[in-house]
Amino acid sequence: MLKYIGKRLLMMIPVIIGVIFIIFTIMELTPGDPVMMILGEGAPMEAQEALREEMGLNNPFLVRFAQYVIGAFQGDLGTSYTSNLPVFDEIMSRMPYTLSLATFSICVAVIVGLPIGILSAIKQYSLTDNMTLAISLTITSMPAFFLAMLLMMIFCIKLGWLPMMGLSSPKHYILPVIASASSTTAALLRMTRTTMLEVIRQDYIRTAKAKGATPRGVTYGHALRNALLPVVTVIGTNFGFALGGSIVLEQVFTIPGLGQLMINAIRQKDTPIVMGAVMTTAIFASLINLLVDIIYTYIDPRLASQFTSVKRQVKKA
Amino acid sequence: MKKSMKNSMKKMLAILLTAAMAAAATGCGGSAPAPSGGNSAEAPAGGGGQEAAGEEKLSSRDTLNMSCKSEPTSLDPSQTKDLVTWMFMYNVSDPLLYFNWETQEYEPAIATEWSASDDGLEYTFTIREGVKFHNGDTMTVDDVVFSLNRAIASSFTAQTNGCIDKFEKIDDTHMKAVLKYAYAPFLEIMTNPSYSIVSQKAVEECEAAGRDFGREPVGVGAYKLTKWQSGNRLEFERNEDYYRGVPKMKYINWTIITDASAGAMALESGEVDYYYGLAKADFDHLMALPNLTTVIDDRAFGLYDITFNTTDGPFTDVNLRKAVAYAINRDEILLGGANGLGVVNNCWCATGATGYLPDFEWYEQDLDKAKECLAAAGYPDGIDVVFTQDSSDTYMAPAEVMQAQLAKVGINVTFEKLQRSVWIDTVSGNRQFVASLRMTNHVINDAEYMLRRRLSTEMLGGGNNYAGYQNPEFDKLVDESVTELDPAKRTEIFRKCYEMIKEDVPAIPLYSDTRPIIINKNVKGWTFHPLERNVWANAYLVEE
Repeated sequence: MLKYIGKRLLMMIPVIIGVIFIIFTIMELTPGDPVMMILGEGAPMEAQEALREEMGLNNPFLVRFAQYVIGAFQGDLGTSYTSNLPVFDEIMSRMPYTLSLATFSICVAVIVGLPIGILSAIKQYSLTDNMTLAISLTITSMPAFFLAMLLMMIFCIKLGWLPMMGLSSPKHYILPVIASASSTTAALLRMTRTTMLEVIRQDYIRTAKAKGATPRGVTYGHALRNALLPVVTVIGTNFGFALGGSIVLEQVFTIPGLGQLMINAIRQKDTPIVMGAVMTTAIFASLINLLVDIIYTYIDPRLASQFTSVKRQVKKA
Repeated sequence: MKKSMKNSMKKMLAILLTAAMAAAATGCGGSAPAPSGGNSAEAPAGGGGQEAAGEEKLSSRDTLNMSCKSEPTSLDPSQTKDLVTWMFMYNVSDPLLYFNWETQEYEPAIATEWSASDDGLEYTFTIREGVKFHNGDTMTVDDVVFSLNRAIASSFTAQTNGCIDKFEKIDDTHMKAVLKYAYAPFLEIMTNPSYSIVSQKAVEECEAAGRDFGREPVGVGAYKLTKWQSGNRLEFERNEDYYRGVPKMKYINWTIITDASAGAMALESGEVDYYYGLAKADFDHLMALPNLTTVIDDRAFGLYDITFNTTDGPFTDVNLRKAVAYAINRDEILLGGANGLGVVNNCWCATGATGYLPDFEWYEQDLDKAKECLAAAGYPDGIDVVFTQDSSDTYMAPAEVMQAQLAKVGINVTFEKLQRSVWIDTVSGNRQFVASLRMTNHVINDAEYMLRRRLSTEMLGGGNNYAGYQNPEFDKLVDESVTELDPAKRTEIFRKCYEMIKEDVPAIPLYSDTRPIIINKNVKGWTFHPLERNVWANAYLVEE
């Protein structure tokens, strides 16, 4: 298993270099001049040329790419064009917000979505089932920013119960977490319901019931475990997305997270920040994928055999 | 073997569940009320013992909650060039002079007195004594000279430093500025936040340690930076030794709210006292709210214009440019572009800058003449043109009104919409466009700035004169306008310049928009400036 994890971690390196290359090329090919953004459109040519030279922008594309990759592997992601701060520090100062928001939202989604999904599956076509389906459909079709604005209008302006900016106290988390967890919850709920329904109809569930197992034991012990695989996939994907930082929600709730950093950097043509932010997102996405794969093996032991080499399996046998 | 596998799996599940529960517990913790309730905006009246100023009862809140749509780039004066950064810079340090917007006069700041030599090539300044830096050091003439020379050496001041040769110390209380050529608006430059005074010692310490002075500035201003949380928040504490008197508010906190609607809501809910960066769609609603007050001044520093590429494409023909000038109705463009908040501008100078001539006349809308010009240009049946636009609503809103007006005479406009950085590169940098509607701010509060930057031959490259206008007579007049120190004669020079622009139409001035300042009505004592160089040093809060 450890060997497998090591292998997967090593495989992340080419993936990340590939991502760097794509983003670097896109930033290079799109028009827009960082020097003009820094100095203003009216700055004299000499000043622009001097700064361009100082920033090393006159070097050929491949030289700059190689320099960037070498620097990146030594932990030096460069400095931001606009704030002059090291990119690593900028990203680290933003990560706690994005990380905490993503974690809380995914927890809320699991805690709310999973049980309700199971419930609607067991009580298929009941009132509860129909209601949850209707609600989850509404929430899935509602854009996150709209929901966020709506929540803000109601709870911050009309009622004045909750603060609207930043994440400085636990109270501040309530609205952003609701807004960002809602669509994941709905997706999770529907996924759980569908897979549970499939599983419940299987023969072995009938056998378990026939054996005299309690309904609770059947649901949680036999059905849920088998229904969990696709659900874990949904959780993983959504968590990966959330860790990239929600550009829209961070803007609406004034959260200085990774998404805000990235969108501002793109607007400012601040290539080092864009690179750093995308790379962070790529690393997190790869790690989450790995984690999901590992969790699979605990849910479905059959999958674990893939990670043990044939030789060892023979030996063990 | 199989059993142990199963056991370890159970353990793992148990661990996962525990983790989920723990996370859930923290998640639920979110709904508990915040113990310290970091919401000072709702601080209870209580307090008592507050001295009342006249009828006003001072609020017990000691923090001003400000907010802004974007973050300053640096608080090192020599590394600043944009309006937002200067808004912050004005808290941190002061330049030699201060321009009082109400009286329209220069007032002493770091310099207490100043005089110019007869030829206008040397300015002598008397430096205020006993001014303390934020770190407690006393400011000396050396600090002043150091700061100013540092400012002119920086590429960030390239738009303003052209006329300045150097700054020199005379004695312990005097210094002088040596100019390369006489420059009438020189004192205006000395009010620019890029020329604010910083501590030489602090700068050198920072540079030696490889740290960024822009993140830990040491100035002489009313407020000192105590905390800068990147992308989120800047906190300032008052400078108890401020030479113009102790500022009234103890703290000023600035939050960065990038989303304009979120900013409007924060302002409405009272969570912030002020937000810079409101979308104009929110103006009407916010101006009607009882907890906010609005300050509007007709004089502004921005000029919206239609710039033509006069060296390439269809608009090389002056008749076609005139056709556009006759076809548009600028009052309607102002209405669509800025909700009518502003003044239609007839000359190539923003309404707030020296050299603006309110009596100057521009083409009035005349569709027949527009069609004549169009025919004279060789397009009696109309023409299709592409306007290369910054995609932001600020420029697209007026451009769409213009588009509808031009369609009436047969000039069919389509838009190539670009993101700001791309627009700068394409239009002002590489001049790959035929026409564009854009806005320019006066960095120097003088007509010459706009005339030279945007239309003189020497500014052809580098994103300035992207119209490509080249007129030796015009260039000569612009040169004269800086060496001529008599205001009346300068006005006449400017008038001649405007007439040439009217004749050749390299660009069409549209309007100067005035952005209302919408602020908590309980904030008093602050000083207005249309370029957001508002001074908060004397701001204070009153109770309802």
